[in-house]
Amino acid sequence: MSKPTEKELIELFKKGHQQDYVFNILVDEYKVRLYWHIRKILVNHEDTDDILQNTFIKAWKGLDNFREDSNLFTWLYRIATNEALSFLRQKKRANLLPWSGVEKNLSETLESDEYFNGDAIQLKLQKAIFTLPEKQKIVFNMKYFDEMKYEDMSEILKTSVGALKASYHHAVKKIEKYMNEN
Amino acid sequence: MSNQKRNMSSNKQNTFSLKDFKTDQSFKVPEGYFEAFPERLQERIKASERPTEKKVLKINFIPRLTIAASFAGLMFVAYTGIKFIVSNQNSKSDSGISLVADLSDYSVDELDETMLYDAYMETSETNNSVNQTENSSSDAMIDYLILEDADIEVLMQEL
Repeated sequence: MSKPTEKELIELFKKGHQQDYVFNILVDEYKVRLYWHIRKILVNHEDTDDILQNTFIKAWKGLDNFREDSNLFTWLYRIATNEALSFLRQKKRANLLPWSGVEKNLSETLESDEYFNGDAIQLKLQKAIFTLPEKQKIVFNMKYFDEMKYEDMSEILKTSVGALKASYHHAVKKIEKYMNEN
Repeated sequence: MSNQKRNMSSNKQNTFSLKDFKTDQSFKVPEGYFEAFPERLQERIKASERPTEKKVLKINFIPRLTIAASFAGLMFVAYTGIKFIVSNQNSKSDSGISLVADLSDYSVDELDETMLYDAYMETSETNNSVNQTENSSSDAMIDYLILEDADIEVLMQEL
């Protein structure tokens, strides 16, 4: 028996057939990729775990209204990105921090994180990424680490391919400058 | 010259470039995290569905309570206000001047012309009857004095 396609799984879910089972297949398919996408934004494992669960809960509640002409993968990435950014903004508001304060906070979190095992240069690279503006950081992570296509990124971030290319180019220049000067 | 070239080449070698830098995954996750994740997620989904029912109840219930409390508050304010105004009016009406003024205002407002005329006629008749009584009593007095053969000066005083 062949493995059901994503479209078939979504149809089954919408009909209410074995929703738990169907949803678990989708979770297994995307949990690792989404985890690393969120982790690169939030750094901390506990925060990432919380936001990953929120992402899937939103997907569970919204899957009934999911339009089949959209791509499930980009839809899930969009939810995850929005959830992670909302979390960071809430944190910023709660601690009355400017964006630079959040960046400093993330650097400190990284240094004391028991789940970070990078060497000195990897730590420096992460710190360089934290200096980027919010959206530029996400573009850089998606392109450099996840090697995502610009077309998919465009759908997830609702930004033109040209703007994404420019954003990535600027991000690379800033990071290289940081790495060379610090 | 050869030194300069060497320096430039060593600078180039030291320059960091992301193209040449291949980073391994520097983050890690607790052991067995991904394997246990679906089960924990299912628990969270079930837990998130339960409070939703409570929330619906709250949504329906809380505005009703708020409306009832607001209404009670409004009634209290209205009652207190009315009570205050009435007590003020009573203290005013205790003074005689205002009572007379109020009564005269009331009479003028309430009586029409016919009623005023009737009231006037009634008063005139009463006055006439008082005069008639007075006249009849002086006649009787004169008759009495004549009968008693009183002094002419006393009689003249009565006339």
